[in-house]
Amino acid sequence: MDVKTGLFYLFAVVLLFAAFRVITARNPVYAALYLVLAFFQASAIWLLLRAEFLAISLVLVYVGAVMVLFLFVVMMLDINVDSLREGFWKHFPLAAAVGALIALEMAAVLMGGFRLGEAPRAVAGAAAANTSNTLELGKLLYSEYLYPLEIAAVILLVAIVAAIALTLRTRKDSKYVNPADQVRVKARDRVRIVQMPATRAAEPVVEAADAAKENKA
Amino acid sequence: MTLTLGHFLSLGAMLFALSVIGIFLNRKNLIVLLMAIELMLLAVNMNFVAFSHFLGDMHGQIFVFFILTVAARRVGHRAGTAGAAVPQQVEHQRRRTQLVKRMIPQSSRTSCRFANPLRGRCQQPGKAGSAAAAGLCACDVRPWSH
Repeated sequence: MDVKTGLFYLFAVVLLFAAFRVITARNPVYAALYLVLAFFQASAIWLLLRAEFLAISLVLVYVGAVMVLFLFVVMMLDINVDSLREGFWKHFPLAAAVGALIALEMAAVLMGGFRLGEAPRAVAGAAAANTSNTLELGKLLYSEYLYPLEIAAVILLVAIVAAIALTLRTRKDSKYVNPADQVRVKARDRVRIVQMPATRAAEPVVEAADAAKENKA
Repeated sequence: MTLTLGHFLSLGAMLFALSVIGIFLNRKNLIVLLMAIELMLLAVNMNFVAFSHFLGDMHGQIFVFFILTVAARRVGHRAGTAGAAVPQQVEHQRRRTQLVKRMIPQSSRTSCRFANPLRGRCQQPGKAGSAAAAGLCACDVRPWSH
């Protein structure tokens, strides 16, 4: 058993433990923190598989951004833990049955379907061991997968626009009137009553012509 | 004993089964549900990377790249949405709960199992009497459940 195998078992055990704690943790904050641990272990295993770029991006994307957002949301909410745990043990038999079924099916496939003892084949084109994984990935991504890459970029752009649009509660330019304000309005807010005499003294003679015109109109 | 493809596939399978169990266990808790889905995606990605390594084909890693992109977008979007929408909804919910508590006497309150903030339907409408018939119910509605 060489060092790599030992490391794999270490990472795998910690990964499974962290995943188990994610789904059973009482507090969602702990679940998020264990999820961070699980992602770290997974990225370490990917490093063993020589997928360096993906391992680093997993840590950067998930641990750096997504998990912080998760924690942000979880901590901002005032969560009633007990109400969330309601029905936890009631669903447990079903969950255990489904999980065991899936594990058995996958074990059946793994036992029968694959020749598992194969040694890894060298990546075509990266036969020289010192060729970087990132370089290979980049070459493939920007030549053969250029259109999917652009589609992914557009999806991210749409996500940005949608996230910003969701934060806009009301449009600034709409003519919407708050019904509560409308109901609460008083007559003196809308109508101004002016006191003025019913009759007035005659105007001076100079402006009499204008007044006569106005009266005709 | 060296590492074979089977080691990684087994690990992915165990991770996947664990996250399926998690989805069943945490049905009420949407945030942990999302985390279980993340674990599921991680298991799938693990299989992709393992096959990519052992079959000597970089295309698997490209797929992992795209899955990471879309998953990060989805999670980031959900978290951003919740972060933007939650404070107002929590406040609204608190007001509504207080209103309902004032309207319904203590004895006739019933607990909701399926708390739907849009409808607030009670599970046992018979017990709650007129209050439940009016569509009101003194339940702790989770504001992020839709």
